[in-house]
Amino acid sequence: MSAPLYPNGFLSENAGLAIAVILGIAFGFFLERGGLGSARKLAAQFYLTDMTVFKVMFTAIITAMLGLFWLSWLGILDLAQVHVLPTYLVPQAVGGLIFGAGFMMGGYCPGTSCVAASIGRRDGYVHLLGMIAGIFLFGEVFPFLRQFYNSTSLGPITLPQILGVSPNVAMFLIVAAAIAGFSLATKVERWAEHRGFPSSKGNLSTHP
Amino acid sequence: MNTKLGFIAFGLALLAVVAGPSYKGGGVSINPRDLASIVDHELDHVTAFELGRSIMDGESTYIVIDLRDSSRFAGYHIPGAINKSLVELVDASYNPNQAIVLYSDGGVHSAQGMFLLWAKGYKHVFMLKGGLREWQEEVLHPVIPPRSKGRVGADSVQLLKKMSLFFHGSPALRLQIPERPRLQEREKMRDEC
Repeated sequence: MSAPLYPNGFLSENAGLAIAVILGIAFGFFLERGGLGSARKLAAQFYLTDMTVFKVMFTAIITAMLGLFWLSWLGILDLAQVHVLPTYLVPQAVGGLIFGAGFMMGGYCPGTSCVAASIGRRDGYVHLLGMIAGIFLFGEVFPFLRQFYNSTSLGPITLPQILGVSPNVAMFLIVAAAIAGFSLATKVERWAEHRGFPSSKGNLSTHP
Repeated sequence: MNTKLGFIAFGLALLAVVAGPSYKGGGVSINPRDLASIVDHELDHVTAFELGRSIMDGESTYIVIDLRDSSRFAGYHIPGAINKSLVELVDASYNPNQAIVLYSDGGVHSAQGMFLLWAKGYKHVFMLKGGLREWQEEVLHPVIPPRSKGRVGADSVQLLKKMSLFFHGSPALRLQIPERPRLQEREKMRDEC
């Protein structure tokens, strides 16, 4: 038996969907327990006084990366069957800027807005409604954006290809960068708090 | 605790550098004989009639993808179809058990798309036989004999009419005898060849 399980027919569609629901709930639960259901904590990331988002995201990246590599090395997972999303450089950069602007203004990203809504935060509901409205709006204007949407296509490229190193070396560099980043993040938090930037513990005023 | 986890991650990454390549079980493999056999046995396509009937009966489980450009898609498309270019088609992810029907004006683009998706490991991909032209001829504007005898029974005639009207087409009630092209048209056809 080789993973991924679903494409190889080891899971039925219904079982796959059931597992997706369970994983989604678990993901939301741990995001909430990590404090990411609070817009204050998320907004503090942009003031550099609370680097939790950075730490959580980078931890997720290196955990998934090491997990995928070692599972495939042990012959349990076929990496060739794991879908790599294609890169569209300019549209994705623009999308990232819009995403970041929304994140900064609202204090939530799509995932954390669901978490906030699920624990009854009203700003989470507003964010969720905005997200759904945005999806419909994008669908309606997509024919006009289509050319831009498909521009600067680089295909499913990966960091090892860009850096010109083996996947193993790229992985080591990313883990080293993450560990250095965690250490630096703690120093940045202290520096920002010392400078009196708005913090999630004190003077950052957002809707509770 | 965090420091310990950091050390574990660093150790695993360091070990990975000397561990050698990860397992890639060949990914997608194409067996040309299998593909040739599928084409030989006409298992690679659905007919316009089959697709039309399944949509009309509400039993279609297909994703229908129109591979023509967006302006022609806007002009007309099979109800429920979505529009994708070949690049968008291969970039997208689909449920591996989902049946997909591709169509273009004729059959070239859809055949290319079908082979590309087969190469990506999707097994339930079909092309619409004869493309949109055959859809128009067989579903939208079928030529129906005035009397239901012989091969085409009364039920089949009713079904063709019903299907044509369902898709806002216009069934033509006339004998299915091709008219001889007039002299001018024959000369024009000869010039075009």
